[in-house]
Amino acid sequence: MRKNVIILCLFVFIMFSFVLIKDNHFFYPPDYFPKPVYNFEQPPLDSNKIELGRILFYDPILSKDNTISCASCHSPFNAFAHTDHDLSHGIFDSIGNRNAPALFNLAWQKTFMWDGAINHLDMQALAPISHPSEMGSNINEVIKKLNESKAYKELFLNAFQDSTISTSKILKALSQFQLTLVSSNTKYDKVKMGKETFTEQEKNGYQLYKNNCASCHSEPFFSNYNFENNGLPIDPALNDMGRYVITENENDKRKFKVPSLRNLSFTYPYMHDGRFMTLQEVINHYTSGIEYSETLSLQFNKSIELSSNEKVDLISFLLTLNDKDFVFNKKHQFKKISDQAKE
Amino acid sequence: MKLYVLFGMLFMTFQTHSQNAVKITFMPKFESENLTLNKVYYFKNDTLNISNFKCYISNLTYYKNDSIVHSSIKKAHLIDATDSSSFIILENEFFKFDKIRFNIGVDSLTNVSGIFEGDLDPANGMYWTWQSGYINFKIEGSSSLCPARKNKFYWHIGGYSPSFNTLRQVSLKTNGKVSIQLDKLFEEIDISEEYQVMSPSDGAVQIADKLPSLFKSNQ
Repeated sequence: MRKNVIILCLFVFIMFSFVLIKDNHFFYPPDYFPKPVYNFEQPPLDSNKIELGRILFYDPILSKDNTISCASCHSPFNAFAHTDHDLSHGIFDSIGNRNAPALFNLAWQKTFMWDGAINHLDMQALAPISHPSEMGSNINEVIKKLNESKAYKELFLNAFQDSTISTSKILKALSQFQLTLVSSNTKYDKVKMGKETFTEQEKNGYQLYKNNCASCHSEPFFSNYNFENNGLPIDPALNDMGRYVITENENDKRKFKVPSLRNLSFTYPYMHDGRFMTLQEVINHYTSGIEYSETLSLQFNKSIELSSNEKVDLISFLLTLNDKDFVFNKKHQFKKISDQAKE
Repeated sequence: MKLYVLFGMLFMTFQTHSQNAVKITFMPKFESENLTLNKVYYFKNDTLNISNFKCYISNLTYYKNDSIVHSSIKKAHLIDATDSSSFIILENEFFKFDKIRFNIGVDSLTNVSGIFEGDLDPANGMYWTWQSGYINFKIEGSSSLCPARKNKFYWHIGGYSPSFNTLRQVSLKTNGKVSIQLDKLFEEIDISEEYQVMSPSDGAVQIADKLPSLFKSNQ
Protein backbone atom coordinates (compact mmCIF):
# COMPACT_ATOMS: atom_id res chain seq x y z
CA MET A 1 0.00 0.00 0.00
CA ARG A 2 2.68 2.43 1.11
CA LYS A 3 4.70 1.45 -1.96
CA ASN A 4 1.79 2.36 -4.17
CA VAL A 5 1.48 5.75 -2.55
CA ILE A 6 5.18 6.41 -3.08
CA ILE A 7 4.96 5.32 -6.71
CA LEU A 8 1.90 7.49 -7.21
CA CYS A 9 3.65 10.47 -5.64
CA LEU A 10 6.66 9.90 -7.86
CA PHE A 11 4.42 9.70 -10.90
CA VAL A 12 2.61 12.90 -10.00
CA PHE A 13 5.93 14.60 -9.33
CA ILE A 14 7.30 13.55 -12.73
CA MET A 15 4.16 14.66 -14.53
CA PHE A 16 4.21 17.94 -12.66
CA SER A 17 7.83 18.57 -13.58
CA PHE A 18 6.90 18.05 -17.22
CA VAL A 19 4.24 20.70 -16.88
CA LEU A 20 6.79 23.04 -15.31
CA ILE A 21 9.34 22.36 -18.03
CA LYS A 22 6.75 23.06 -20.68
CA ASP A 23 5.75 26.35 -19.05
CA ASN A 24 9.33 27.55 -18.83
CA HIS A 25 10.29 26.53 -22.29
CA PHE A 26 10.52 30.04 -23.74
CA PHE A 27 11.25 32.06 -20.67
CA TYR A 28 13.56 30.76 -17.99
CA PRO A 29 15.23 33.49 -15.97
CA PRO A 30 17.51 32.48 -13.09
CA ASP A 31 15.92 32.30 -9.65
CA TYR A 32 17.65 35.47 -8.43
CA PHE A 33 15.74 37.52 -11.01
CA PRO A 34 12.61 38.99 -9.39
CA LYS A 35 9.08 38.37 -10.62
CA PRO A 36 8.52 39.95 -14.05
CA VAL A 37 6.37 43.07 -14.38
CA TYR A 38 4.85 41.85 -17.65
CA ASN A 39 1.66 39.84 -17.33
CA PHE A 40 2.29 36.59 -19.20
CA GLU A 41 -1.25 35.31 -18.92
CA GLN A 42 -2.97 36.87 -21.90
CA PRO A 43 -1.97 35.17 -24.04
CA PRO A 44 0.75 32.87 -22.66
CA LEU A 45 4.01 32.57 -24.59
CA ASP A 46 3.66 30.24 -27.51
CA SER A 47 6.16 29.20 -30.17
CA ASN A 48 4.01 30.28 -33.13
CA LYS A 49 3.42 33.74 -31.69
CA ILE A 50 7.10 34.13 -30.83
CA GLU A 51 8.16 33.09 -34.33
CA LEU A 52 5.63 35.47 -35.90
CA GLY A 53 6.96 38.27 -33.69
CA ARG A 54 10.49 37.39 -34.71
CA ILE A 55 9.64 37.55 -38.42
CA LEU A 56 7.85 40.90 -37.94
CA PHE A 57 10.81 42.23 -35.97
CA TYR A 58 13.12 41.62 -38.93
CA ASP A 59 10.68 42.67 -41.68
CA PRO A 60 10.96 46.20 -43.15
CA ILE A 61 7.30 45.87 -44.17
CA LEU A 62 6.60 47.75 -40.93
CA SER A 63 8.06 50.94 -42.45
CA LYS A 64 6.44 53.25 -44.97
CA ASP A 65 8.83 52.50 -47.84
CA ASN A 66 9.73 48.94 -46.78
CA THR A 67 13.32 49.85 -45.93
CA ILE A 68 13.54 49.89 -42.14
CA SER A 69 12.84 47.03 -39.77
CA CYS A 70 13.02 46.98 -35.97
CA ALA A 71 16.38 45.25 -36.39
CA SER A 72 17.74 48.15 -38.45
CA CYS A 73 18.33 49.94 -35.16
CA HIS A 74 18.13 46.95 -32.79
CA SER A 75 20.62 44.45 -34.13
CA PRO A 76 20.93 41.07 -32.41
CA PHE A 77 24.73 41.25 -32.59
CA ASN A 78 24.65 44.47 -30.57
CA ALA A 79 22.36 43.05 -27.90
CA PHE A 80 19.59 44.70 -29.94
CA ALA A 81 21.14 48.16 -29.83
CA HIS A 82 22.99 49.88 -32.66
CA THR A 83 26.70 50.65 -32.75
CA ASP A 84 27.24 52.47 -36.03
CA HIS A 85 25.49 55.66 -35.05
CA ASP A 86 25.26 57.84 -32.01
CA LEU A 87 21.67 58.79 -32.91
CA SER A 88 19.24 56.40 -34.56
CA HIS A 89 18.66 56.52 -38.30
CA GLY A 90 15.29 56.06 -39.96
CA ILE A 91 13.61 56.20 -43.35
CA PHE A 92 14.56 58.80 -46.00
CA ASP A 93 17.99 59.12 -44.31
CA SER A 94 16.49 60.90 -41.36
CA ILE A 95 18.27 61.00 -38.03
CA GLY A 96 16.45 60.80 -34.73
CA ASN A 97 17.45 62.54 -31.54
CA ARG A 98 18.39 59.61 -29.35
CA ASN A 99 20.63 56.54 -29.32
CA ALA A 100 18.72 53.30 -29.95
CA PRO A 101 18.68 51.43 -26.62
CA ALA A 102 19.53 47.75 -26.23
CA LEU A 103 16.62 45.33 -25.91
CA PHE A 104 16.75 42.59 -23.30
CA ASN A 105 15.14 41.69 -19.98
CA LEU A 106 12.14 43.73 -21.08
CA ALA A 107 9.70 41.69 -18.98
CA TRP A 108 11.02 43.49 -15.89
CA GLN A 109 10.62 47.02 -17.18
CA LYS A 110 7.64 49.24 -16.45
CA THR A 111 8.45 51.96 -18.93
CA PHE A 112 10.26 52.10 -22.25
CA MET A 113 12.30 54.68 -24.15
CA TRP A 114 14.97 56.93 -22.61
CA ASP A 115 12.23 59.19 -21.26
CA GLY A 116 9.74 56.47 -20.31
CA ALA A 117 7.24 57.74 -22.87
CA ILE A 118 5.83 54.25 -23.37
CA ASN A 119 4.06 52.56 -20.46
CA HIS A 120 3.71 48.96 -21.67
CA LEU A 121 5.78 46.62 -23.81
CA ASP A 122 2.74 45.87 -26.00
CA MET A 123 2.43 49.55 -26.96
CA GLN A 124 6.12 50.14 -27.61
CA ALA A 125 6.23 49.14 -31.29
CA LEU A 126 3.57 51.73 -32.20
CA ALA A 127 6.07 54.50 -31.49
CA PRO A 128 8.81 53.62 -34.03
CA ILE A 129 6.20 52.46 -36.58
CA SER A 130 4.51 55.89 -36.47
CA HIS A 131 7.53 58.15 -35.91
CA PRO A 132 8.21 60.20 -39.06
CA SER A 133 11.99 59.79 -38.75
CA GLU A 134 11.93 56.12 -37.80
CA MET A 135 9.52 53.98 -39.83
CA GLY A 136 7.19 56.77 -40.92
CA SER A 137 4.15 54.53 -41.23
CA ASN A 138 1.10 53.87 -39.09
CA ILE A 139 -0.59 50.76 -37.77
CA ASN A 140 -3.46 50.88 -40.29
CA GLU A 141 -1.00 50.93 -43.17
CA VAL A 142 0.90 48.01 -41.64
CA ILE A 143 -2.29 45.98 -41.19
CA LYS A 144 -3.21 46.66 -44.82
CA LYS A 145 0.17 45.52 -46.13
CA LEU A 146 0.25 42.40 -43.97
CA ASN A 147 -3.27 41.52 -45.09
CA GLU A 148 -2.07 41.50 -48.68
CA SER A 149 0.46 38.77 -47.89
CA LYS A 150 -0.79 35.20 -48.02
CA ALA A 151 2.20 34.04 -46.04
CA TYR A 152 1.48 36.45 -43.21
CA LYS A 153 -2.19 35.48 -43.12
CA GLU A 154 -1.07 31.91 -42.62
CA LEU A 155 1.38 32.86 -39.88
CA PHE A 156 -1.32 34.82 -38.06
CA LEU A 157 -3.69 31.90 -38.41
CA ASN A 158 -1.11 29.53 -36.92
CA ALA A 159 -0.30 31.92 -34.12
CA PHE A 160 -3.79 33.09 -33.16
CA GLN A 161 -6.13 30.52 -34.75
CA ASP A 162 -7.56 33.46 -36.68
CA SER A 163 -6.14 35.02 -39.82
CA THR A 164 -7.69 38.47 -39.25
CA ILE A 165 -4.68 40.71 -38.81
CA SER A 166 -5.21 43.33 -36.11
CA THR A 167 -3.24 45.83 -34.06
CA SER A 168 -3.42 43.67 -30.98
CA LYS A 169 -2.19 40.52 -32.75
CA ILE A 170 0.76 42.36 -34.33
CA LEU A 171 1.74 43.97 -31.04
CA LYS A 172 1.27 40.80 -28.98
CA ALA A 173 3.45 38.82 -31.39
CA LEU A 174 6.18 41.47 -31.27
CA SER A 175 5.97 41.49 -27.46
CA GLN A 176 6.22 37.72 -27.26
CA PHE A 177 9.39 37.64 -29.32
CA GLN A 178 10.95 40.47 -27.32
CA LEU A 179 10.03 38.82 -24.02
CA THR A 180 12.25 35.88 -24.97
CA LEU A 181 15.24 38.23 -25.18
CA VAL A 182 16.55 37.39 -21.72
CA SER A 183 20.18 38.08 -20.91
CA SER A 184 21.15 35.94 -17.93
CA ASN A 185 24.19 33.98 -18.95
CA THR A 186 27.10 36.32 -18.33
CA LYS A 187 30.18 35.38 -16.35
CA TYR A 188 28.61 37.38 -13.52
CA ASP A 189 25.56 35.08 -13.70
CA LYS A 190 27.75 31.98 -13.76
CA VAL A 191 29.60 33.21 -10.67
CA LYS A 192 26.26 33.93 -9.05
CA MET A 193 25.17 30.38 -9.75
CA GLY A 194 28.45 28.98 -8.43
CA LYS A 195 29.59 27.69 -11.80
CA GLU A 196 32.58 30.02 -12.19
CA THR A 197 34.68 32.33 -10.04
CA PHE A 198 35.87 35.90 -10.49
CA THR A 199 39.58 36.64 -10.91
CA GLU A 200 41.19 38.85 -8.25
CA GLN A 201 40.92 41.82 -10.59
CA GLU A 202 37.24 41.18 -11.31
CA LYS A 203 36.60 40.80 -7.59
CA ASN A 204 38.16 44.20 -6.93
CA GLY A 205 36.13 45.62 -9.79
CA TYR A 206 32.94 44.12 -8.34
CA GLN A 207 33.63 45.85 -5.04
CA LEU A 208 34.30 49.16 -6.81
CA TYR A 209 31.08 48.71 -8.76
CA LYS A 210 29.16 48.08 -5.54
CA ASN A 211 30.61 51.20 -3.94
CA ASN A 212 30.19 53.56 -6.88
CA CYS A 213 27.68 52.33 -9.45
CA ALA A 214 25.24 49.92 -7.84
CA SER A 215 22.67 52.39 -6.54
CA CYS A 216 21.48 53.13 -10.09
CA HIS A 217 22.90 50.19 -12.04
CA SER A 218 21.61 47.72 -9.48
CA GLU A 219 21.80 43.94 -9.65
CA PRO A 220 20.69 41.66 -11.17
CA PHE A 221 19.65 43.78 -14.18
CA PHE A 222 22.41 46.33 -13.63
CA SER A 223 19.79 49.02 -13.80
CA ASN A 224 17.12 50.16 -11.38
CA TYR A 225 15.16 51.22 -14.50
CA ASN A 226 14.51 54.59 -12.88
CA PHE A 227 15.14 58.03 -14.31
CA GLU A 228 18.30 59.78 -13.21
CA ASN A 229 20.36 62.83 -14.10
CA ASN A 230 23.95 61.61 -14.35
CA GLY A 231 25.49 65.02 -14.86
CA LEU A 232 25.92 65.05 -18.62
CA PRO A 233 26.34 68.56 -20.00
CA ILE A 234 23.46 69.37 -22.35
CA ASP A 235 24.12 69.00 -26.06
CA PRO A 236 22.90 72.40 -27.30
CA ALA A 237 21.96 71.00 -30.72
CA LEU A 238 19.54 68.52 -29.12
CA ASN A 239 18.65 70.37 -25.91
CA ASP A 240 17.11 67.12 -24.71
CA MET A 241 15.41 67.39 -21.32
CA GLY A 242 14.64 63.66 -21.10
CA ARG A 243 11.89 62.60 -18.73
CA TYR A 244 10.74 66.22 -18.40
CA VAL A 245 9.50 66.10 -22.01
CA ILE A 246 6.89 63.59 -20.84
CA THR A 247 6.00 64.72 -17.34
CA GLU A 248 6.64 68.49 -17.63
CA ASN A 249 7.75 68.18 -14.02
CA GLU A 250 10.72 70.45 -13.23
CA ASN A 251 12.21 67.70 -11.05
CA ASP A 252 12.49 65.46 -14.10
CA LYS A 253 14.64 67.80 -16.18
CA ARG A 254 17.72 66.11 -17.68
CA LYS A 255 16.72 62.72 -16.32
CA PHE A 256 16.96 59.63 -18.51
CA LYS A 257 16.17 56.00 -17.91
CA VAL A 258 19.19 54.19 -16.45
CA PRO A 259 20.47 51.72 -19.06
CA SER A 260 21.59 48.24 -18.07
CA LEU A 261 25.32 47.54 -17.89
CA ARG A 262 24.78 44.04 -19.23
CA ASN A 263 26.28 43.49 -22.69
CA LEU A 264 28.06 46.80 -22.56
CA SER A 265 30.83 45.76 -24.97
CA PHE A 266 28.19 45.20 -27.62
CA THR A 267 26.12 48.32 -27.11
CA TYR A 268 28.47 51.28 -27.60
CA PRO A 269 28.19 54.20 -28.16
CA TYR A 270 26.96 55.12 -24.69
CA MET A 271 24.43 57.53 -23.18
CA HIS A 272 21.07 58.68 -24.54
CA ASP A 273 22.77 60.64 -27.32
CA GLY A 274 25.60 58.18 -27.94
CA ARG A 275 28.23 60.77 -27.02
CA PHE A 276 30.82 58.34 -25.63
CA MET A 277 32.42 55.68 -27.81
CA THR A 278 34.42 53.86 -25.12
CA LEU A 279 33.96 52.64 -21.56
CA GLN A 280 37.02 54.63 -20.60
CA GLU A 281 35.26 57.84 -21.63
CA VAL A 282 32.20 56.83 -19.62
CA ILE A 283 34.21 56.18 -16.48
CA ASN A 284 36.13 59.44 -16.94
CA HIS A 285 32.80 61.24 -17.14
CA TYR A 286 31.80 59.83 -13.75
CA THR A 287 35.14 60.65 -12.12
CA SER A 288 35.76 64.08 -13.60
CA GLY A 289 32.98 65.20 -15.95
CA ILE A 290 29.85 65.48 -13.80
CA GLU A 291 28.09 68.79 -14.35
CA TYR A 292 26.05 70.08 -11.44
CA SER A 293 22.42 70.98 -12.05
CA GLU A 294 19.29 71.21 -9.87
CA THR A 295 18.14 67.70 -10.67
CA LEU A 296 21.53 65.94 -10.47
CA SER A 297 21.05 62.57 -8.79
CA LEU A 298 21.96 62.71 -5.11
CA GLN A 299 24.50 59.93 -5.49
CA PHE A 300 26.84 62.44 -7.10
CA ASN A 301 26.95 64.64 -3.99
CA LYS A 302 29.93 62.48 -3.16
CA SER A 303 32.36 62.49 -6.07
CA ILE A 304 33.57 59.22 -7.53
CA GLU A 305 37.30 58.85 -7.17
CA LEU A 306 39.10 56.02 -8.92
CA SER A 307 42.83 55.52 -9.47
CA SER A 308 43.89 54.38 -12.91
CA ASN A 309 44.40 50.86 -11.54
CA GLU A 310 40.94 50.90 -10.05
CA LYS A 311 39.48 51.98 -13.39
CA VAL A 312 41.14 48.97 -14.99
CA ASP A 313 39.74 46.68 -12.28
CA LEU A 314 36.28 48.16 -12.63
CA ILE A 315 36.31 47.62 -16.39
CA SER A 316 37.46 44.03 -15.92
CA PHE A 317 34.39 43.44 -13.78
CA LEU A 318 32.11 45.24 -16.21
CA LEU A 319 33.32 42.93 -18.96
CA THR A 320 31.93 39.97 -17.00
CA LEU A 321 28.51 41.44 -17.78
CA ASN A 322 28.80 40.59 -21.47
CA ASP A 323 26.45 37.80 -22.43
CA LYS A 324 27.81 36.09 -25.54
CA ASP A 325 25.24 33.31 -25.32
CA PHE A 326 22.55 35.95 -25.56
CA VAL A 327 24.15 38.03 -28.30
CA PHE A 328 24.88 35.04 -30.52
CA ASN A 329 21.74 33.07 -29.75
CA LYS A 330 20.48 31.77 -33.09
CA LYS A 331 16.88 31.71 -31.86
CA HIS A 332 16.92 35.50 -31.74
CA GLN A 333 18.46 36.08 -35.12
CA PHE A 334 17.15 37.12 -38.50
CA LYS A 335 14.29 35.07 -39.82
CA LYS A 336 12.67 35.89 -43.10
CA ILE A 337 9.15 35.10 -44.08
CA SER A 338 9.56 32.20 -46.50
CA ASP A 339 9.89 33.49 -50.06
CA GLN A 340 8.07 30.46 -51.37
CA ALA A 341 5.02 31.13 -49.29
CA LYS A 342 5.14 34.83 -50.16
CA GLU A 343 4.36 34.13 -53.86
CA MET B 1 -46.50 19.92 -29.37
CA LYS B 2 -45.23 20.74 -25.89
CA LEU B 3 -41.91 21.52 -27.46
CA TYR B 4 -43.48 24.07 -29.79
CA VAL B 5 -45.14 25.83 -26.91
CA LEU B 6 -41.84 25.91 -25.05
CA PHE B 7 -40.04 27.31 -28.06
CA GLY B 8 -42.85 29.79 -28.60
CA MET B 9 -42.56 30.99 -25.03
CA LEU B 10 -38.80 31.20 -25.26
CA PHE B 11 -39.09 33.18 -28.45
CA MET B 12 -41.57 35.56 -26.89
CA THR B 13 -39.44 36.19 -23.82
CA PHE B 14 -36.47 36.76 -26.11
CA GLN B 15 -38.51 39.19 -28.20
CA THR B 16 -39.82 41.19 -25.31
CA HIS B 17 -36.28 41.33 -23.96
CA SER B 18 -34.76 42.59 -27.15
CA GLN B 19 -37.57 45.09 -27.61
CA ASN B 20 -37.13 46.50 -24.17
CA ALA B 21 -33.38 46.09 -23.90
CA VAL B 22 -31.96 49.26 -22.46
CA LYS B 23 -30.22 51.57 -24.82
CA ILE B 24 -28.59 54.93 -24.40
CA THR B 25 -28.20 57.31 -27.30
CA PHE B 26 -25.41 59.86 -27.22
CA MET B 27 -26.25 62.33 -29.96
CA PRO B 28 -23.55 64.81 -30.97
CA LYS B 29 -25.32 68.12 -31.54
CA PHE B 30 -24.61 71.66 -32.54
CA GLU B 31 -27.16 73.95 -30.94
CA SER B 32 -30.55 72.39 -31.65
CA GLU B 33 -29.59 70.23 -34.63
CA ASN B 34 -27.74 66.95 -34.90
CA LEU B 35 -24.08 67.43 -35.80
CA THR B 36 -23.22 67.29 -39.49
CA LEU B 37 -19.51 67.01 -40.16
CA ASN B 38 -18.01 69.79 -42.31
CA LYS B 39 -21.21 71.80 -42.24
CA VAL B 40 -20.68 75.54 -41.76
CA TYR B 41 -22.18 76.84 -38.54
CA TYR B 42 -22.69 80.48 -37.74
CA PHE B 43 -22.23 80.73 -34.03
CA LYS B 44 -22.12 84.04 -32.19
CA ASN B 45 -19.43 86.01 -34.02
CA ASP B 46 -17.75 82.91 -35.44
CA THR B 47 -18.08 80.89 -38.63
CA LEU B 48 -16.93 77.37 -37.97
CA ASN B 49 -17.10 73.74 -38.99
CA ILE B 50 -16.29 70.46 -37.32
CA SER B 51 -14.47 67.92 -39.47
CA ASN B 52 -13.84 65.20 -36.90
CA PHE B 53 -15.37 64.30 -33.58
CA LYS B 54 -14.69 61.22 -31.47
CA CYS B 55 -14.87 60.54 -27.77
CA TYR B 56 -14.79 57.67 -25.31
CA ILE B 57 -17.57 56.85 -22.88
CA SER B 58 -16.46 54.36 -20.22
CA ASN B 59 -17.58 52.72 -16.98
CA LEU B 60 -21.25 53.39 -17.74
CA THR B 61 -23.40 52.62 -14.70
CA TYR B 62 -27.18 52.78 -14.36
CA TYR B 63 -29.01 53.89 -11.23
CA LYS B 64 -32.56 53.71 -9.95
CA ASN B 65 -33.40 55.74 -6.84
CA ASP B 66 -29.68 56.25 -6.32
CA SER B 67 -28.75 52.59 -6.18
CA ILE B 68 -26.86 50.79 -8.93
CA VAL B 69 -29.07 48.59 -11.09
CA HIS B 70 -26.63 47.75 -13.86
CA SER B 71 -23.03 48.24 -14.96
CA SER B 72 -22.33 48.11 -18.66
CA ILE B 73 -20.19 45.11 -19.61
CA LYS B 74 -18.40 47.14 -22.23
CA LYS B 75 -15.27 48.70 -20.76
CA ALA B 76 -15.12 51.66 -23.12
CA HIS B 77 -17.28 52.81 -25.97
CA LEU B 78 -16.05 54.98 -28.83
CA ILE B 79 -18.41 57.58 -30.22
CA ASP B 80 -17.40 58.53 -33.75
CA ALA B 81 -19.26 61.25 -35.66
CA THR B 82 -18.66 59.41 -38.95
CA ASP B 83 -20.63 56.37 -37.75
CA SER B 84 -24.10 56.99 -36.33
CA SER B 85 -24.36 53.42 -35.02
CA SER B 86 -21.62 54.35 -32.57
CA PHE B 87 -24.00 56.83 -30.89
CA ILE B 88 -25.95 53.97 -29.32
CA ILE B 89 -24.89 51.85 -26.40
CA LEU B 90 -27.07 48.78 -26.17
CA GLU B 91 -27.36 46.68 -23.02
CA ASN B 92 -28.56 43.16 -23.59
CA GLU B 93 -31.16 43.24 -20.88
CA PHE B 94 -34.04 45.18 -19.52
CA PHE B 95 -34.07 47.15 -16.28
CA LYS B 96 -35.48 50.42 -15.06
CA PHE B 97 -33.21 53.36 -14.38
CA ASP B 98 -33.49 57.08 -13.83
CA LYS B 99 -29.86 58.12 -13.75
CA ILE B 100 -26.60 57.18 -15.44
CA ARG B 101 -23.03 57.80 -14.49
CA PHE B 102 -20.09 57.47 -16.85
CA ASN B 103 -16.60 58.71 -17.60
CA ILE B 104 -15.63 60.82 -20.57
CA GLY B 105 -12.44 59.07 -21.60
CA VAL B 106 -10.48 55.95 -20.72
CA ASP B 107 -9.47 55.29 -17.11
CA SER B 108 -5.84 55.15 -16.00
CA LEU B 109 -5.86 51.40 -15.34
CA THR B 110 -6.87 50.71 -18.94
CA ASN B 111 -4.27 53.22 -20.10
CA VAL B 112 -1.44 51.24 -18.52
CA SER B 113 -2.70 47.72 -19.25
CA GLY B 114 -1.36 47.22 -22.75
CA ILE B 115 -3.23 46.47 -25.92
CA PHE B 116 -6.99 45.97 -26.36
CA GLU B 117 -9.22 45.23 -29.32
CA GLY B 118 -12.44 46.77 -30.62
CA ASP B 119 -13.20 50.31 -29.52
CA LEU B 120 -9.87 50.52 -27.70
CA ASP B 121 -7.80 49.47 -30.73
CA PRO B 122 -5.12 52.15 -31.32
CA ALA B 123 -5.97 51.87 -35.03
CA ASN B 124 -9.08 53.97 -34.27
CA GLY B 125 -6.87 57.04 -34.13
CA MET B 126 -7.55 57.72 -30.47
CA TYR B 127 -4.14 56.65 -29.14
CA TRP B 128 -0.90 58.61 -28.91
CA THR B 129 1.90 56.47 -30.30
CA TRP B 130 4.81 58.70 -29.23
CA GLN B 131 3.67 58.78 -25.62
CA SER B 132 1.44 56.00 -24.35
CA GLY B 133 -2.11 57.03 -23.64
CA TYR B 134 -5.58 57.31 -25.08
CA ILE B 135 -7.05 60.50 -26.45
CA ASN B 136 -10.27 60.82 -24.46
CA PHE B 137 -11.99 63.43 -26.55
CA LYS B 138 -11.03 64.64 -30.01
CA ILE B 139 -12.51 67.43 -32.04
CA GLU B 140 -11.04 69.10 -35.12
CA GLY B 141 -12.25 71.67 -37.60
CA SER B 142 -11.80 75.27 -38.59
CA SER B 143 -13.03 78.50 -37.12
CA SER B 144 -12.82 82.06 -38.40
CA LEU B 145 -11.49 83.12 -35.00
CA CYS B 146 -8.64 80.61 -35.04
CA PRO B 147 -5.33 82.25 -36.01
CA ALA B 148 -3.64 79.01 -37.14
CA ARG B 149 -2.90 77.99 -40.74
CA LYS B 150 -6.18 77.55 -42.66
CA ASN B 151 -7.94 78.50 -39.40
CA LYS B 152 -7.65 74.91 -38.26
CA PHE B 153 -8.05 73.93 -34.64
CA TYR B 154 -7.15 70.63 -33.01
CA TRP B 155 -8.38 69.69 -29.57
CA HIS B 156 -7.02 66.26 -28.67
CA ILE B 157 -7.81 65.91 -25.00
CA GLY B 158 -6.05 63.11 -23.17
CA GLY B 159 -3.73 62.30 -20.28
CA TYR B 160 -4.14 59.86 -17.40
CA SER B 161 -1.26 60.71 -15.06
CA PRO B 162 -2.20 62.48 -11.80
CA SER B 163 -0.58 65.72 -12.99
CA PHE B 164 -2.51 65.84 -16.27
CA ASN B 165 -5.58 63.76 -15.59
CA THR B 166 -8.25 64.50 -18.20
CA LEU B 167 -10.76 61.77 -17.32
CA ARG B 168 -14.03 63.37 -16.24
CA GLN B 169 -17.11 61.85 -14.65
CA VAL B 170 -20.66 62.72 -15.57
CA SER B 171 -23.77 61.96 -13.57
CA LEU B 172 -27.02 62.58 -15.42
CA LYS B 173 -30.73 62.08 -14.74
CA THR B 174 -31.99 60.61 -17.97
CA ASN B 175 -34.29 58.10 -19.59
CA GLY B 176 -31.68 57.21 -22.20
CA LYS B 177 -31.46 60.13 -24.59
CA VAL B 178 -28.33 62.18 -24.10
CA SER B 179 -27.05 64.98 -26.28
CA ILE B 180 -23.46 66.14 -26.56
CA GLN B 181 -23.73 69.88 -27.09
CA LEU B 182 -20.55 70.65 -29.00
CA ASP B 183 -21.55 74.32 -29.44
CA LYS B 184 -20.99 74.77 -25.71
CA LEU B 185 -17.29 74.10 -26.20
CA PHE B 186 -16.98 77.12 -28.49
CA GLU B 187 -18.74 79.21 -25.90
CA GLU B 188 -16.36 78.11 -23.14
CA ILE B 189 -13.02 78.05 -24.94
CA ASP B 190 -11.35 81.12 -26.41
CA ILE B 191 -10.41 79.61 -29.74
CA SER B 192 -8.26 82.61 -30.67
CA GLU B 193 -5.92 81.55 -27.84
CA GLU B 194 -6.41 77.82 -27.37
CA TYR B 195 -6.56 76.16 -30.78
CA GLN B 196 -3.91 73.48 -30.69
CA VAL B 197 -4.00 71.02 -27.79
CA MET B 198 -2.51 67.67 -28.71
CA SER B 199 -0.75 66.30 -25.64
CA PRO B 200 -1.35 65.82 -21.92
CA SER B 201 -0.87 69.36 -20.62
CA ASP B 202 -2.43 72.10 -18.49
CA GLY B 203 -4.38 73.21 -21.56
CA ALA B 204 -5.83 69.73 -21.97
CA VAL B 205 -6.82 69.60 -18.30
CA GLN B 206 -8.60 72.97 -18.60
CA ILE B 207 -10.59 71.81 -21.61
CA ALA B 208 -11.36 68.49 -19.89
CA ASP B 209 -12.94 70.45 -17.04
CA LYS B 210 -15.49 71.84 -19.49
CA LEU B 211 -16.46 68.51 -21.04
CA PRO B 212 -19.01 67.25 -18.49
CA SER B 213 -21.23 70.32 -19.12
CA LEU B 214 -21.57 69.27 -22.78
CA PHE B 215 -23.64 66.22 -21.82
CA LYS B 216 -27.32 67.00 -21.45
CA SER B 217 -30.33 64.82 -20.94
CA ASN B 218 -32.97 65.05 -23.68
CA GLN B 219 -36.12 64.08 -21.89
